[in-house]
Amino acid sequence: MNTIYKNNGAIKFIKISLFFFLIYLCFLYLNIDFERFFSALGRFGDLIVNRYYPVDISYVLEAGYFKSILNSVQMGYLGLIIGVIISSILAYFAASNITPSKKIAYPIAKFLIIFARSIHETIWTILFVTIVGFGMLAGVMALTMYCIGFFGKLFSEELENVNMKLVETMRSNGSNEIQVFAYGVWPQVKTAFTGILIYTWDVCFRASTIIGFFGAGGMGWYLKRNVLQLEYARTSAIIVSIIVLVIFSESLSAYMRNKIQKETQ
Amino acid sequence: MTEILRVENLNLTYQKGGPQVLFDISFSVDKSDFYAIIGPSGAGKSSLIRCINKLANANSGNVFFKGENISLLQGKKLRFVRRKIGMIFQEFNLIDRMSVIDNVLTGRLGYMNTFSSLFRMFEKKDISRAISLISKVGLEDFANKRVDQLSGGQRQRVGIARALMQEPELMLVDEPTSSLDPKIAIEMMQLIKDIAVELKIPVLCNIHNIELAKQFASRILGLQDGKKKFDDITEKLTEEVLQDLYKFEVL
Amino acid sequence: MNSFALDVETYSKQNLKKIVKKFLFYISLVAIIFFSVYFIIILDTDWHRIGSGESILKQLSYFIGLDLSLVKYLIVPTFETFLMACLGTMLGLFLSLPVAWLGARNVTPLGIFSFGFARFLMTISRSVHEIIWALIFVGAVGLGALPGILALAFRSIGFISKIIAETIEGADKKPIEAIRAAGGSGFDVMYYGIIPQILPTVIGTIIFEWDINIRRSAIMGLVGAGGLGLAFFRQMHMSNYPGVTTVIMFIFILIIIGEIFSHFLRKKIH
Repeated sequence: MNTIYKNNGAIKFIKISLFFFLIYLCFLYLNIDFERFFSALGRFGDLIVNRYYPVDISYVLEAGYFKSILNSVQMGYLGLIIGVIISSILAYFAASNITPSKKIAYPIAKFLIIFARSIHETIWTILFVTIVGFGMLAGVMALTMYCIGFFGKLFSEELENVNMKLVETMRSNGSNEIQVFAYGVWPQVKTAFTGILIYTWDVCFRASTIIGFFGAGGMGWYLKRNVLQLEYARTSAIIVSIIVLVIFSESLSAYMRNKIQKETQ
Repeated sequence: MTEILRVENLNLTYQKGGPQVLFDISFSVDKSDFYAIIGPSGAGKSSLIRCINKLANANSGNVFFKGENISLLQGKKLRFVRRKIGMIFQEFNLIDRMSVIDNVLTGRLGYMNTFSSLFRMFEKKDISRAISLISKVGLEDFANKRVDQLSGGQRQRVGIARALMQEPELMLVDEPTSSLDPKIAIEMMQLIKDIAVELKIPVLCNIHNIELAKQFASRILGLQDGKKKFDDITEKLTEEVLQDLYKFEVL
Repeated sequence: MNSFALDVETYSKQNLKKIVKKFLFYISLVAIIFFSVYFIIILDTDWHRIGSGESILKQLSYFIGLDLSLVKYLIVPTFETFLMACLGTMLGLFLSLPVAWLGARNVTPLGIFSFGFARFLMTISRSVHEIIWALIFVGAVGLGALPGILALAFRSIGFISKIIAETIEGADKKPIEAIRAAGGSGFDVMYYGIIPQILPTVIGTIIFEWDINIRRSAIMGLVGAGGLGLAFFRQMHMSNYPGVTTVIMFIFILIIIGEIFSHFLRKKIH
């Protein structure tokens, strides 16, 4: 009896040691200085106190910056709306149970959604800035791609979990595919659609606040300018304003979610 | 010719390499028939029903509806045929959060164009027909109630009204009473029979309760392991035949 | 007359109301889109600088094609990106545990104060974009993989600790009571009572966040924090567009590998 317990403990110990050894190897491979790692937290705190404080709030209350906030919001919701419309259609084709063409449309739609999702919103921004120049157009296009990937994946998964019996029922009375979707699928996914929509808005808005850093419109551009100019007080003010806005947007979303939950009860 | 449906040599295998579900099934349904399909579970009754309106695709064989071969139909032509065939389901298959009348009106979708159906622009004559059908199944006091607040028996009646909205020339009924109380089951079968007789609609009904089948059906189709074992008027269904049909069923 | 009965007139009226509502909703949605597109895009964009449809297509065509000479230089950064994601997620988990403990209503030590503080930390972690975290840490510890790992870790704390806290809150009390009754310490309660219950959810959350972190890790290099992002930045800077496409391919492949991994890991759990 005792020997069994002892062996178990020994094996566990070896596993854990190997694990930490592996991490040590990773650190070596990545050229990470251990001293820097352990002092990072200290330096981080140091940085916050000395460099990023006091926060220059007056800067973010200027008219120019305020307009950029509006721009970020506008980019956000436009990217969301267009992205959701496109990805809803893509999700329909990318759902293995209801896609009309399993051999052609399904893999293409699935691929497009995965591709849109893999590329980070900042990379999309840089790419679109190269093609259409600086400004909100590039930002909206980048956010659209981001929303297509994010919403498309979640919604197509939701569609795949739908109860097919209702779909079968609608097909049996002679409905065409659009009617089958509207009456057989949509009633089942309506609430999930709104939930995922709100979730997508949260991440989309968060993204819209900083993609300006890479050339789109909005607050991110102000951030970049101040970082480059080493204006730390203003940088921290911008960061604080971004945090405040994101928190505000998330509270709104939570409120909307509760309201909708109550209505559908 | 009063034949409404003729099935010839139907064979069905669900998936490639999967077991064969139906073997060379042939029978025909007359306009005055109330045809019951019976047999042990797994005999292929549900699959057979679904092959009629092509919810399942048979591998070989022909289905003739009103003399026309519908086996190879697709798209619009298939929809035209489907809207003439009403279907009632074992689990009712209603849209939960919608009202009784909204559910019943969905039976009319096959006759409406896409735009009007998306915006629920039903014609007045359809609305009045829906209301009279709801009365016919005894739910006139529940027309505006959400269906998830109804009992099982009431929900099935919504399903019946919905199927009748299609003005069907054939009713496919898939185990209408399996999800119901035994007492309600008899009422339900009586309702379906009465409506079928009154509106002169032939019925092809899947049922696993033999007593109900004998009580309400005019003809019986007995299936065992996907093969047809009995096809005759109800009177000729003897105990011997039943013993043979259900001999492999483990209760 | 029962209130649920209907006649044609009543239904028509109530249906018409619904139709009008629906119609107005869609019309206003279309209107918002059109106006937004007009004000935000059409007015704001410098159409002259973009050029014609032709020049846009030309610019797009530059991206077509792969610069295969880069491939051997991209293998190490890919590996680096992958490792950053792994280490960042693990560090994130490690840091999330105390935050989750503070943020769970049933085990938080100082009541509303510690709970509120934990929720505040979670919100900060989630609201600050990973790019901003990366900027902060590059400023703190310099360039390389380390700030990337730290940025990913701090960004992940918000989600991981939130899920763990919610799982702890939903944990079954009985094993906890049993351990306390048997004389177990706070640590025993944690280790034998709570952790076994929350482990499946925690592992699922880790896999999920790890998957997302691979995506984030690829761009850490854009601000100097290591990985493929730096290669992307360089190729853009040199206007070597086929090279950019090559880097994107690598990022895409890396993410696919991550997806396959997480798919199998999740299957293994269930």
